[in-house]
Order: sequence, then C-alpha cells, then structure tokens
Amino acid sequence: MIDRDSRRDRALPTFVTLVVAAFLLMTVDVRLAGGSVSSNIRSAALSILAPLQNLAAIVVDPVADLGEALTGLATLRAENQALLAEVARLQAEQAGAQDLQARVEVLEQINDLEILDPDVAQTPANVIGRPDPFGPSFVIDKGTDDGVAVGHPVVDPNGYVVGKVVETAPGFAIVVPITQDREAVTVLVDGQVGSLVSHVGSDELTLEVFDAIEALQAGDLVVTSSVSVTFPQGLPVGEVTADVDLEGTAISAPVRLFAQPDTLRIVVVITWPPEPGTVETTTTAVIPGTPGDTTTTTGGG
Amino acid sequence: MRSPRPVLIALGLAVFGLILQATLFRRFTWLVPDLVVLVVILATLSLRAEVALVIGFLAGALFDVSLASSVLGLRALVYTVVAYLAVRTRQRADSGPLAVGIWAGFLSLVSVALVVVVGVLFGQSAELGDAMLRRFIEVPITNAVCAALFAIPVTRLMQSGGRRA
Repeated sequence: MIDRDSRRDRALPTFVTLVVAAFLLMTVDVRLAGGSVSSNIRSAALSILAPLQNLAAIVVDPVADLGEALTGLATLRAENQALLAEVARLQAEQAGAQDLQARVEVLEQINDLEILDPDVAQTPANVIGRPDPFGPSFVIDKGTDDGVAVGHPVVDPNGYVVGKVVETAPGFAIVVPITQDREAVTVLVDGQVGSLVSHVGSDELTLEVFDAIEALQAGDLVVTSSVSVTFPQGLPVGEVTADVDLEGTAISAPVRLFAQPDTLRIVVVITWPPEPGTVETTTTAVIPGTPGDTTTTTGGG
Repeated sequence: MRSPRPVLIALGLAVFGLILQATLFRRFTWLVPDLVVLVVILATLSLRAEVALVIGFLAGALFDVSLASSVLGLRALVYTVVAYLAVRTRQRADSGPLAVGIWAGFLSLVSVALVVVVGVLFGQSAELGDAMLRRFIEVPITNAVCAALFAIPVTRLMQSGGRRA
C-alpha cells in the first residue's frame, strides 16, 4: 500500500501534467478560433448532453412552474387587474395598427418589397438549458435534423432579434445572443445604416453610425439592415435609449435590446440565408409587429 | 486492481450537476450554485489525490464543451487547480459539515476568481460582465450551503465503490 507522502509526490506531477494539457487545449482553441476540431468535439458533447438536458427540462419545468406560481400567488390579483387594463389599451392600439399595416402593404408594393415569411423556414424551438447561469449561451431543442445550421438568426416569439446559432448537433443547437457576440450587426435606424456593437459582458449595445445625416432620439427604432450579412432585413432589434447629437458625421448611441435572452423559454430559428433555389431572387423584408413606432426600411439587397 | 466505480460515480455526479444547473437552477435567479466544481471539491474527500485531479480536469472539460461561448480548457484548468488546492487542504474539512461548507465555499470563490482572471487573459471578456459581482457572492455562498448539506451523502456515495488508497 502506498503511504500518504508518496501519494503527495504523485499528485504534483499529475497536477502539472493536467495544467499543461489544459493550457495547450486553450491555446489550440484560441489559435484555431473555434476550428473544426473543437467544433466537432462540442457538437459530439452536445449530442450526448442535450438529450439529457431535454429530459431533465421535461421533469423540472412543470415543478419550477408550480413553484413560481405558488410564490407569485399573492401578486396574481394585482397583476390580473393590470393585465386587463393592458388588454384594453392594446386593443385600442391594434385598431390603429391595422390602419398602419394597410399603409405598409401599399408601401411594400410600391417599393417592390415582400414579406419574407412564406419562403423562409422558421423553426420554433424550446430553450432547454443554460449551463452557465451567468453565461450568455443557451441550448435549444432543434438542430441539424430540423434544418438548423451554424449562423442561422434566432428571434424571440415576438420577432425581436435574439442572436444566432453558433453550434449544432442533430437534435440540438447552441445560441449566443447578440449582446455577447463579437460580430457587429448592421442595422438601420431612422433611415441611417449603422453597426450595433456589444460591450464587454454587458447587456447594452452601442449603435455606431459613421455617415450620419441627422441626430437620433430616445425611442428611435433599430431594425436589421438590408446590408446585413447575418440577419434578414427589417427585424426589430431594439430602441435608442438616449437623445444623441451628431459629432461631425458620426453618432454613437446606446441601444436597449427588445428581446430578453436571459428569460427566454421559446425562440424561433430563421433559415437564413435561405437554401439556394427555395426563394426567388427578389428584394425581401421581414416586418413583424414592431413595438409602437413605424419602421422605415430602405430597399435594395 | 482498484475499482473504477468511485471515479465513474464522481463523473456521473459531475454530469448530473451540469444538467441540473442547466435546467433547474436556470429558473431560480437567486440560487446559483456551481455544482460541477462542488462535485470536484467533494470528490477530493473520498478519492486519491491524482484521481481527484483527473476528475477535476475531465469535469471542467465537460463544462467547457457544453458552453459554446467558452474557450476549450478554461474550466478544465481552473477545476484542476481547485482540485489540487482541495487535495492540499482537505484535512481542514474533517471537523464537520460547517467546516466542509466553509472550505467548499472558499474553494468555490477561488474557482470563480480563476475563471474570471484566466478567462479574461484568454479573451473571454464576457466573464467581466454585469453579473461578475453576483457571481463572486452567490456561487460561493450557495456552494457552501450545498456542501454543508450534501457532503456526507456525496462522499459516502463515492466511497461506496471503493475507499481512498
């Protein structure tokens, strides 16, 4: 039998070996910038872990729902009253929106735009896991078997931009929100094209417009632009949260995301760009229900 | 030949912790344990030092591959270091559940700090987010409570397949 001291001697070499292995792993992963090897490893791990997460979610979610309902019982009556008032207000707004919708349809016809939805597949998916509670990524229960691929845009049930798929497995995929994505999103605000960049670990985004022609105001709607290579045109992203004046020809404005990635339970994956041959080559736009403001989109692809 | 059962139990518990964390605990914003590092810490109480280190590495690597936004090897490194610190200090946890709780809470704090520091060094700037302070406070406290409550059953479970050499 090995005594305690000799065991301690073996612990240090093991420790050093594992630390070196971990550093090598990190270095290779960073140098290859998530190349095919690490992608394959993650995809394989996802194939194993995600079904277990899915199973656990089926068991856990009803229990957690019940717990949440019980803890929120006291406030339900007040919430109900507030929601009834909200329904009445929204019904009034809807009546006005129908008029705007008719005007949008006329403008789409004039500008040779068409709604993208009929031709582009949209895959609803459940959020089944979030391994790191403080981390940005989450796992959904749809993957390559359902046509989901790396790079596909993800929106919430209201059509607001959430992020994009970064990893896929046959029945599952991992999504990273745009608030944590290093790649900027090209957007349109008040007729001006800009880039929406994320901050270090923050949920706020900054809109950078370099060829600005006019100042921006709080509440200005930010939608995806026709020049975006990541997202279809016209998806609502968020709103400008402060009045910002021109600085020469540039503007930098804070933007609040409409979607709330941390609390999402259901998302929709958009098959975009569409498979070649499935969509006729026309200028397209997606204009889902936008919160309040009207959307101005520019034509062109 | 030693039975591999304790090792398999430890790895199984790490997977179980990861799944529980991704499903159940994502629903409770006020309860944020890091169950994987907790399993690694508690494994050092019942496994041989070098085996506990390998468990730390594998559990961390498992966590890394389940996070698309994390660099591969980050948590493998951190959990290996935490396992080593746990091996070197495990005699401090011998005096009861409270001691185990404090010991595991402190090691969890070290784990959180290392994830942030090493993560930032390797370009994981998301680790510096708004939730960083919450992470530093909530994870060690939740892990300390969990360790105090579950250390005895978990170590008994791991010891059930063999004893520390």
